[in-house]
Amino acid sequence: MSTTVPEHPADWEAQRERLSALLDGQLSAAESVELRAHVHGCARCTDELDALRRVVAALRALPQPVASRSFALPVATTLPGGAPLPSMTTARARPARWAGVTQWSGAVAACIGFVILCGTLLVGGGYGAQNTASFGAMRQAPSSAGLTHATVTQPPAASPTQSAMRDTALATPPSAATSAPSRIATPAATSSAAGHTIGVLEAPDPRATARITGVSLLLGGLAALLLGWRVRRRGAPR
Amino acid sequence: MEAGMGGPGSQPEPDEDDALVARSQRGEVAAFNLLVARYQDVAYALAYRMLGDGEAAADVTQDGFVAAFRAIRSFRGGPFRAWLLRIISNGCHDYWRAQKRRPTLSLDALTSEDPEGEPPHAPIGLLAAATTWDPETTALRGELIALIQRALLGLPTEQRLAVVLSDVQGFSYDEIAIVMATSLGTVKSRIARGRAHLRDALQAHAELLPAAMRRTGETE
Repeated sequence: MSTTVPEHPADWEAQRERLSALLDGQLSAAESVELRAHVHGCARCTDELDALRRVVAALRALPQPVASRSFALPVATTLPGGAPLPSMTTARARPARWAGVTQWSGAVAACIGFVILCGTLLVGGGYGAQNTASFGAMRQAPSSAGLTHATVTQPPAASPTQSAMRDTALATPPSAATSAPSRIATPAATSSAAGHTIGVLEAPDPRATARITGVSLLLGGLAALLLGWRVRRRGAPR
Repeated sequence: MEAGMGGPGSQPEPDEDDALVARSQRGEVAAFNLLVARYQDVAYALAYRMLGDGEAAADVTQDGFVAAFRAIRSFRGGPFRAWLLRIISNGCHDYWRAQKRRPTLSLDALTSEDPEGEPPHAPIGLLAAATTWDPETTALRGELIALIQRALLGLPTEQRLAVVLSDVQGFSYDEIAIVMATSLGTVKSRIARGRAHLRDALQAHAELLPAAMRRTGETE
């Protein structure tokens, strides 16, 4: 044990760290006893320890600054990716994004449908007169021919008989089709051999198709417009 | 040695902190604000002593609390106060980095001591005006307070942080190591070096020190 150590340690930085730690009680009991004994006999360490103590005293005497405001967070603060807080339930809920898209799409579709519908009502022509006659004939056909006509938009499977009838009908000018007509998308045929009129060569009525399309677009667009509007309104605060 | 008047006083209560942290992790701002109320003084004091400017310290403290709340789910236990102060100290570092990019510095900053080649730091002329404290309990005169703060700002930031946490806030070495994310040996070294630099800075103005601080001799 060296109760009096006149020689100073070579590593002054390490010695100063020990002196600093001694002030804070960070040394073990044995280290403290040994260092105190050294300091007692070492003027430089005594001065250093005294100087460090004065520094610590000065720092600890500093007043505690007090902020002039609170740092509390607003209640609306949310964690990243977290669900809305209960206190935020009154906040405006964002409407679904698709509602806006639906609303605008519906409006556009309704406008297009309206324009088409107006066009079919305003535009007249040969097709209208011809179709009027055809419709009249079509209404008479079932009773006279004893056949049930049907509105078909796609040609039925072509059997040999039907193919023959179709060929026959193609050779017949539309004006000669005086027997029962049928609204078949593909040219119909008549069978004189069977004594029945089973079809009429007639193209689909584009005006009626356009009218149906216009009405569908108009009604569907209005429905979509109304749906989107209601959804967006439901997202607003009450 | 008695606790300084600016120290944190009592130790935090981990159980209460844990409960508040758990509620905060579920998104309860009210619970987090209880933690804010508990630690805002020590957080602001740390930022103030690190920056030497009341407004900057308030901004860094506010940003630190916001950052702490947003990162609360990444908190994996341990002393919440140390975790929070680590965020605050990081904010101080960011502030300094931003300040270094600015070309303008005050005369006070330009004349401050720079023991390890770091650029001078923020002015401290507003030290007294930016803080409020009871003058009857203030042991040092305004000049001495300004001198100490100036000396603190002259320290390298790591040494300054270690000294402020140890000698101004009265933290243990263990907690300082957590705040600084380093070892106990490094904490011990930084504190010792910082104190030595402060000793040199204060030595030129020993006449400002009170008699009790000028007294020599071990009193333990």
